[in-house]
Amino acid sequence: MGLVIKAENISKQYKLGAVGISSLADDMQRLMAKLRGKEDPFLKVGDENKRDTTLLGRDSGFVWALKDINFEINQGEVVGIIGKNGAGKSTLLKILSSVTEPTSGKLKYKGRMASLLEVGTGFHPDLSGRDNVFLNGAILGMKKHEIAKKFDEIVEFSGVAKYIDTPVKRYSSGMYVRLAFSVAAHLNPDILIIDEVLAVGDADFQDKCLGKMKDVAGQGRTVLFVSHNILAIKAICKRGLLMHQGKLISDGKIEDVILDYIRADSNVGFEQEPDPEKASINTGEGHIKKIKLITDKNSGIEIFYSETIKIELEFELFISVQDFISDVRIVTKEGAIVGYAMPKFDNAKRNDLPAGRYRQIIELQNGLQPDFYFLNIGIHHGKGLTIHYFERILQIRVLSVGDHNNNYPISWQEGNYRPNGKWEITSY
Amino acid sequence: MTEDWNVVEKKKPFNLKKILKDLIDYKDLIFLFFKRDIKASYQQTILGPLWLIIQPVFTSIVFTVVFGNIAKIPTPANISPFAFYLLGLSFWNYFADCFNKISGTFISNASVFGKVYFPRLTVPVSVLLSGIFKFFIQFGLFLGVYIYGIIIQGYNFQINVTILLLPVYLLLLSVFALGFGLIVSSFTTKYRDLTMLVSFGVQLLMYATPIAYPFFTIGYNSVFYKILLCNPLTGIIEGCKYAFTSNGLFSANLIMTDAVFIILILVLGMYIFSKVEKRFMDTV
Repeated sequence: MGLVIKAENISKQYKLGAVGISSLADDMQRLMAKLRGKEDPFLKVGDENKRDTTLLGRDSGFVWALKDINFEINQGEVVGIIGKNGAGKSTLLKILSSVTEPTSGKLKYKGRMASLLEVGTGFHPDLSGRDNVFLNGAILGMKKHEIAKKFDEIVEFSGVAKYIDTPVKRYSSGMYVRLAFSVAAHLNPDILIIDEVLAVGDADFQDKCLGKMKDVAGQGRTVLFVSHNILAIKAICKRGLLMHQGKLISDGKIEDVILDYIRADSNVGFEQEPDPEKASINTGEGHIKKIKLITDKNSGIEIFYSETIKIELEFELFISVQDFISDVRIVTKEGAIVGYAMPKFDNAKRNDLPAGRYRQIIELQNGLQPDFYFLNIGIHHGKGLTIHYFERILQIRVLSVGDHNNNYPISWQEGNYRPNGKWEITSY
Repeated sequence: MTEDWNVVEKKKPFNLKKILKDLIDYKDLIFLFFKRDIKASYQQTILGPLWLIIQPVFTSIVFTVVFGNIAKIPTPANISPFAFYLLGLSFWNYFADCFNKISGTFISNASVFGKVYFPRLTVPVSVLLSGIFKFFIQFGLFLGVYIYGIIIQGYNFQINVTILLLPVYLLLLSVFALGFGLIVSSFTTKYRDLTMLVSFGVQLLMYATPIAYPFFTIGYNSVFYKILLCNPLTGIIEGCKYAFTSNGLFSANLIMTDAVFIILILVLGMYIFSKVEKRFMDTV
């Protein structure tokens, strides 16, 4: 169990804007400094990696995509790298896979390294599946005889055996990625780097990929895995690295790192303190202060299949309201309302509330099929007059696995709503 | 697993031995790239590799008409003008084709290079391989026309012993296309200006190389004569022609000078290329 990867103070600087005369001037300045034996003048400037802010007036034109990254990875570790878009994950992977060099610092690794930053790199549309398997395998670092030995296995895993001599441009996109992933899955490197490749294919194939990756991890290989799919990361990795704005902010057991990630990432939509002015309807008689999705395992927007949807709602009324009600609409990604809940449907007791601050806990039975959903939440007078109403204020993701009580994967993700049923067969 | 650390960092020394070792490690990839180039270029064409023959045939016909019949530039008497042009073109096409493709290495492979690391030099080397393949087809065409000229048309058989130098000429052309191409491709990763220059520069270079005319049609005193001598391709191309016609410029000294210059270009090219390949993704 020796060290196989060692990152020492890795930093990476990027120039913003287009290449042109101004960058030529920068290059000249750099060259002059080098000739006089001085340090690169642009290494001293550079802004933190915050994509959404523009630093008007004092923008240096350079940005640190990575800043002082240090970590060590032992042989056989399976490490998940997580972080928001723009946290520097991809840049780190590019350096790890030697595609680009760090601006300063060093990365050391032992053994053969293979990186899958994309599936099907180097696939040529005009060549047959067979030719592409060999080409892609060789690009990924396999020898020809190794590919030949595994060829049948690769084709079988991909499930496109029938089309293997057809040019890949005639493939459906699903077939294409399946073949490409199969090649990658049969690499035998000492260190394997994977970026988001699981986001391909149908559910069945994703399960197959995940299984294959578990196998690889189980064989004592070192695996680095970048994904936004927390569930997949959790299933495979034991250790996590959390990136945020170009820095490594958390390194440890995967469960802890995922928690850090969810906490650091509070605006993904499981907890909101909305700006009252951004409401869809706002009469000024009261405001929703805070909305939060409460999950047993602090899993952010993710809730298990059938797990009760539990919402904490904090609101303030500026007037007294007779027969106060709140309501929740469940909306699909496409915008269809698939669920509507309000206290009157559930015979909840009538509330006459004087002006003041209140907290309400809403629990909704979850009959949703696995997918992402949004919640519209409003507070109203009992007769229907709305006080304050937000559309798409919370996001939830219903997972395809149940919690520990009914821990089975739901492979049939059809529709949005699952009616509870009884299914009895008698002979007649 | 080896116990040596592989290091990724900015200040990595230029290590020729490692570059060559990597190339040998990845020889399968070079071969597969070569196969891809050949297979893919003639997909969905009816004539397929016949296009390799059609192109020099038509160019030679045009040369025969323009340079031979209109401009009346004399060609050596012991070979048909058509074969003479084909000879020059087969070598020139090899060089120009390889150079053009190699100088686009980084730009045309950016999407692959940005995702996977493999020794980048495999791409230009595979270009040379497919270039050689195409060269042999075109050269075979020339041989056919040449032999037809001797047997049927009654031209003199004038092949001399310098024909043994053909592999050397071919090697020098390869090395020059590689070295020069690497330099251009390295410089175009950030600034594309050179791409513009290359696209018409190669065409102009053909006229500064004795392809469409014999070298000795140029007067000793003209400036153009001196320019031609500075072009390292002149000695090589003239050598090729001399081998088949015993007519033209054959100077061992000139070829040696060219060889030294070309090898220097290759070393410089590989040096610059190895510097650029590690960071070109950021600027390409």
